[in-house]
Amino acid sequence: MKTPSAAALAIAALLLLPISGFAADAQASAAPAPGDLPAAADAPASPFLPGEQMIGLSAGLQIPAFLSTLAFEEAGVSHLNLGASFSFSYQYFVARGLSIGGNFAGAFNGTIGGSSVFTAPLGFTTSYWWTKLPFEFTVLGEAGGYLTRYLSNGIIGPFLKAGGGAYWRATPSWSLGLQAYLWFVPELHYGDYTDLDRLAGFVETSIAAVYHL
Amino acid sequence: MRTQGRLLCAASILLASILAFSCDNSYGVYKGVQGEKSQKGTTSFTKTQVSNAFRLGSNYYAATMTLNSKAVGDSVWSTVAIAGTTDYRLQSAVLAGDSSAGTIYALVETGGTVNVYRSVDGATWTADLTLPAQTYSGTSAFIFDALFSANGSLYAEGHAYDSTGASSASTYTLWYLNGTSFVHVNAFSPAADKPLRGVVFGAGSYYFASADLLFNGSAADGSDAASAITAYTDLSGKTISGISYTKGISTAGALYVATSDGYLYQGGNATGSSVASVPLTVVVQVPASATSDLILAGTDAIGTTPAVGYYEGTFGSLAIGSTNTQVALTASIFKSTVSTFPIHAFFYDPVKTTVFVCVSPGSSSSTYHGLYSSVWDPATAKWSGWSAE
Repeated sequence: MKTPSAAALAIAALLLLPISGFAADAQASAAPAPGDLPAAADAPASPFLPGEQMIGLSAGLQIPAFLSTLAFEEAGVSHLNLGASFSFSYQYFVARGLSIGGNFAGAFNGTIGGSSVFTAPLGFTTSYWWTKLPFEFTVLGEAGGYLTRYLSNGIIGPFLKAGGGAYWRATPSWSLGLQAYLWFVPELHYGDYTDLDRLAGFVETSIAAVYHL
Repeated sequence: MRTQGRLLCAASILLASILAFSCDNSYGVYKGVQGEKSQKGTTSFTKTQVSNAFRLGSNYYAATMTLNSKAVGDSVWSTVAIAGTTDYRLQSAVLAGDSSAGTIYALVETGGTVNVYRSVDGATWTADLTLPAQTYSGTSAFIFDALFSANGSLYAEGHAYDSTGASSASTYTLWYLNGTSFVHVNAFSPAADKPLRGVVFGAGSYYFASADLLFNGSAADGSDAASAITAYTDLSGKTISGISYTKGISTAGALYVATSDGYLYQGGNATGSSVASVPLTVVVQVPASATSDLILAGTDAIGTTPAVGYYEGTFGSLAIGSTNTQVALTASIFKSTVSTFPIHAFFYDPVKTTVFVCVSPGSSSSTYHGLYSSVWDPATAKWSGWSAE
């Protein structure tokens, strides 16, 4: 039960290592010294200025991280198998490096009984981007709702996601990279059914392509 | 702009509808996941229909296209060699008699020849019974395609049919094993295209059922059998889809007659109980507590409407197995195992307090199996939930 959680968190930490340079790089990007040159002569010079837009596509693994009651009594995460996810996102820069946007995703996880859990979140995102050409980095937070289907039953609820990614600016228009996000999927019921409340968590690790409009 | 607005409005309504119909506040998705059990059964039953299961001595047996066995308490099933080979096609297998001193009868085709083999230990098989001649002449054929047992007696279903598919030429006959030969039960004559449902025994009577007839009598050979359908006033005209005589545990066993319109009749009750919208098949009685029992009533399919597993409860108060979940343990176990499968047979072993369910799992998933079991723990008064064998 603990193994998938530990593995998921380790992968997430590994993929988020580039973010450790966020603070220093952010300061450097925000206040360039007069006369600085681009890191590479043919690299795109986009510093994620206001008005720029991006769309992103991703596909990857969906790793069950935890499953518990709202009192954090964890049980049953091992009943979920490694799954797959995909997403489609749009971002619009409202300030230098700061974007808002939307994200639609879907994820499948098989179960030990041969069933599957499908979760489709839809949310608003806020991201901060910075660059160390030819690499780009981002941290992102998302809030929205999700729809889950399981054995012909469904539930909708609030959804939170946090994480980041590192990308290589392959062409002036395209960046390719890796992302890792932690999904918080609370299942909340009302009335006489609050004993069904659960908190599920997944780590999405995916390959992403970002198109700079 | 107006068109775009309408499209947006329609999309919003569609999305809202999907969300509204998708949400069931009374169902816990992740509680269901937490309640699942791993279903890693033997490959012998993966995507394979199991038609019957029983126990003889220290072994369990399950009939697929072959006869399979495992030692009680073991988890490994293997194919039983009949007449020295596992290269045969099993049409039907039953246990006549009780689990300690019964006889297994197997209707087996080997090399184009059909014989009835018998064994008292599952290891040594003999084919010394005389089965009436089976014929294939032009488009007409007469074969034996199923075995039944009741109170230690053996019966065979004879099936005459026209290979062109004319249902009017399809007739079923019942044959009783008298000594080493099968004799026709003349008193029991179903109409054309009305297959047999089985023979059961209880309270001193043998009950013979086909899709259109229900007879009973005290003689095993059916010589005094007469129609018992008058005891069930609203059964007349219905299609019988299953017959069972359950063994009592804490409470007495009873005769159950099931119909294709989802009704169940118990004992001599003149009126039935409407249970399902699909045909019911067989019934088994299992423990519910130290002092009470419950029954499981299997279902079949109608046309393209799939079966729905089984109903659970007491007569007159049965609910689908995802609602009454005592034997399945959780709704998610019921739904991830038998919930869409036709049920062919139940078998309850009172010694190991284990119930088996024999199903047609279809071929849509490698996690579907033809045989599941659930174990009753008297100490906790709980079932273990279905696990694939």
